Amino acid sequence: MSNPRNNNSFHVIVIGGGITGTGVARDCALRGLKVLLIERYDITHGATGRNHGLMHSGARYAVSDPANAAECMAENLILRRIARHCVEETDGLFISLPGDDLNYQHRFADACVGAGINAEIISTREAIALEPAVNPNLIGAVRVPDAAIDPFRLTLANVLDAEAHGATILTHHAVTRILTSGSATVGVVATDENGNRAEFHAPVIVNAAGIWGQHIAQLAGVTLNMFPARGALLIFGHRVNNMVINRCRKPSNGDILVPDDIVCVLGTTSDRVPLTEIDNTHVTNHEVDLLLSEGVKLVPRLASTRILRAYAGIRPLVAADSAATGRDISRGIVCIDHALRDGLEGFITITGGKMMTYRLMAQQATDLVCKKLGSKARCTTADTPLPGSEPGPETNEEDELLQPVSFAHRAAEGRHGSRIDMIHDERPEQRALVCECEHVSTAEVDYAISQLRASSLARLRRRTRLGMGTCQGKMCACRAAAMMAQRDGKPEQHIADLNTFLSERWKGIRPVAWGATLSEAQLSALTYQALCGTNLISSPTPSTLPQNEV
Amino acid sequence: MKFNTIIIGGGLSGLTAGITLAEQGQRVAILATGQSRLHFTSGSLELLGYNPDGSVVTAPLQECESLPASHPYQVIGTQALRQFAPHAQELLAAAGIKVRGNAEANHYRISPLGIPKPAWLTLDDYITADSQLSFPFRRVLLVSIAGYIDFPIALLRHGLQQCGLECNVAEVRTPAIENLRTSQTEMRATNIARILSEQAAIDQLSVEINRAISGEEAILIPAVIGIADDNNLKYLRRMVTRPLFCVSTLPPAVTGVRLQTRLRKRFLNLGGTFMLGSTVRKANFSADRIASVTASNLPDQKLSADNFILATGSFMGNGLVATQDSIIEPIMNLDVDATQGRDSWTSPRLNDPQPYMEFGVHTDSSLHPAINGHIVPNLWAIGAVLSGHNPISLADSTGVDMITALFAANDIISHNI
Repeated sequence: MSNPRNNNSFHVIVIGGGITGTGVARDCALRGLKVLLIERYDITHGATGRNHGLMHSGARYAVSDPANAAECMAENLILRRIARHCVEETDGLFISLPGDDLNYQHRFADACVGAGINAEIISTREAIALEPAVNPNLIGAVRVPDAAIDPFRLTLANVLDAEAHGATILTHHAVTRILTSGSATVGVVATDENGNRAEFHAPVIVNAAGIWGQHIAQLAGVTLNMFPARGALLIFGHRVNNMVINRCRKPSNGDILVPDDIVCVLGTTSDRVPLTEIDNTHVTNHEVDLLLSEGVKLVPRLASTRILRAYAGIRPLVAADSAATGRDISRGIVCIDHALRDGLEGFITITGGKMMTYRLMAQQATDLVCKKLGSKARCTTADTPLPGSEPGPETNEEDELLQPVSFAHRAAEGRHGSRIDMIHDERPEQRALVCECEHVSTAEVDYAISQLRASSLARLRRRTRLGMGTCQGKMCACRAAAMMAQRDGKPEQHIADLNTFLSERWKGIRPVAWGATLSEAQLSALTYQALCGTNLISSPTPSTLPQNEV
Repeated sequence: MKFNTIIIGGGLSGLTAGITLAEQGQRVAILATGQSRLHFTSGSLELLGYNPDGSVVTAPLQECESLPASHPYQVIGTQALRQFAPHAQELLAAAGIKVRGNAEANHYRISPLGIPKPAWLTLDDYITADSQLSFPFRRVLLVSIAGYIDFPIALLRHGLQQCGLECNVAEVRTPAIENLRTSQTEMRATNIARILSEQAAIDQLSVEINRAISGEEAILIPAVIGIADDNNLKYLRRMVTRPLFCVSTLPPAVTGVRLQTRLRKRFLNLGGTFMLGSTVRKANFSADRIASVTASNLPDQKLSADNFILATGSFMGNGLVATQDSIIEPIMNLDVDATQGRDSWTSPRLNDPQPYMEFGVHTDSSLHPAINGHIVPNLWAIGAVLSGHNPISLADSTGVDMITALFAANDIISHNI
């Protein structure tokens, strides 16, 4: 294996900063390859940041796709080990409601057991005792090892480990050309938001761009037919359930409610959208009403719970047939060696699959990369904990009683795992809360700015949850913007960023703007627009956005 | 309990109406839930800051003439606006609130981000610029309190520099304020104001400020002093060696709380009854007139009066409620002006004028609301619950509050003589 010649040469270029791409970058870096990852926006911008945060047991696919279900379960067990700081072990219920077919429940439970998923039919009384939020009229329940997982945290951990092993992560750069020589790809041209171009070279390119993978394949001159299946979700203002609650029936709209930190997430819809619509994440009133009417059947209390926002992502399914919704398309992993399929050497596409199986997807893609490069390095990701999930010293409860830590410290520990030691909150002012909803302290914001390159409010939100809670950034956004301006001396950029952040939050609030959500939106407008004058700030030009991070 | 007038809502509009009626010897009760929009305000009041086309208003009285007919100023007539604008200033003065400005010409207030915004009246101790955006000084010392993060100093400084001020920053610590810090959420404006209500704490602060002063001509501090009155602020201004002015902070607004406190005191001194924690759930009618209302904390009491004023605010005050598909006035189901269909309530772009801001109770030219088209003759609606105005795009909220309150109170008095 040759050594790349210069700063612009790598062994492998990975395109896409979602969970799949960052997983591939990490695996490649752990195997000693010199890696460049290129992402058009920020990490988790696509489907990775726009899903349920559900750590499937595989049960949902047990009936329709047992092989995929077994794969999910195996990966589920691995993630509990290597990414424990990203996982909340909630367990899940599949409930049957009046009118549902209880025969399906038995078929479902049998299929789960067949796929190695520890599913257990329990009494309705036991289900209500385990999860008081569940619809009390349920007629059946199956307990499964579902869990909640934080996609932002998981992706960030992969980035941190990839970087720790020498990988270069280049965000806010779009791949605008794929360079070929003869019948092989040899590199890419990446363009930043100001139109500046740079060339990067590598003998192998991995297309991990999710739904945008079709476009990337096109740039390489090969055909990849994706099936854009849009899924809309709702976030509620507090956590009404402690277990994942699924409907025990053929997968349909609004039939999963996942607890997520202090909130909960209801989803999803599934509609095929044209490829021209994949950048449109606007949620319609129809989708909101549909989700809500189904969600209240799972958990009646949702009818009176404030909805914080609505969002949508596009599942990167690979087109298999002319199905209308995408529900029937396999969630199996698709790893394409374009040398075999299209005679294009050096180009690999990794797609399909699920967030749950990202590690396995990365392993398969990296195996292929290594084969092409003649490397015999073996995959270690199933056994190597991610940064934050390394085994730490056992906490001594007595010590904690003697030296109580703040709630924000605990919250930060939950978010950053064993990296908590890098967050310095020894002095009282470092413990001051910037975001009260999610308990993000000044110290944690400082850590995210200095160690996680949180150079904008959106980047800070993805790295700390700041602004994700009940108030949706009402107070914390301005505080954090001022802190960033204080640190980097670029107030003009951060005032514009504040306006951008609030405008972006509004997109998700607007489809659910009634009741308390509309009242809160009005209060937010009175604070930011009437009092502060953020509506008078001109929109940022690309030159003020966070730039090249090489 | 029987009153001449019962006012539902204890914010700026309710208090303005209550004071005016009590000044005329009426027996008045204000039923208030507790929260007020004043807690989220700056140190300024606005009559009209922007025209519907977005341009800055320099002469509010004059430019009000071209507002659409649905705007409350047009509903009551701009002649009424000219009549009552000076009364508003007198009413504030009588409550011990000293302001600068007039309705003939706007001046500029400075937002917590250092952005100038047109204003009608501003508290005397706040920084302002004239209509040409010029200040009486050029070099200022911007004082921040260490660890107080609701004063976005880096952004404010930039904004002030954009306004042409030379701006040095000094971060101060005093022992009294340091004590607050032991709790993670205590460094908020109202908590700091509580600490700074001790004269000794002001002494400490003035020493630190004077130590930081070098060649600056003026001192700017966050508005965190004087939750009940401005005595300690006056004291600090005497103790420092340069002219000192306040800049508004992020909420909670100490000045807004003070404004409400002063107005409530004035109302109480005039013999008014202020019932806090009283959320009105229901009005009881006798023919087309309201006979009494029932409040949440006095479920068995019928609170009767000859006249009623609805001053419950907009959505955030629960004066209006949006269900999944309609806009309602929740107490009496009054006729509202609102568009049909949730899609039409909001604009996709946050900074465009939002239609829902203009939703509200529909009234006749005397501010009487209606139910199914039938006017309720002994009910007046005032302030943010009214339709046709926009606190963001027109910057008219406090003006609408005070002017419509004065109009309604005078209408009641003229009919009860």
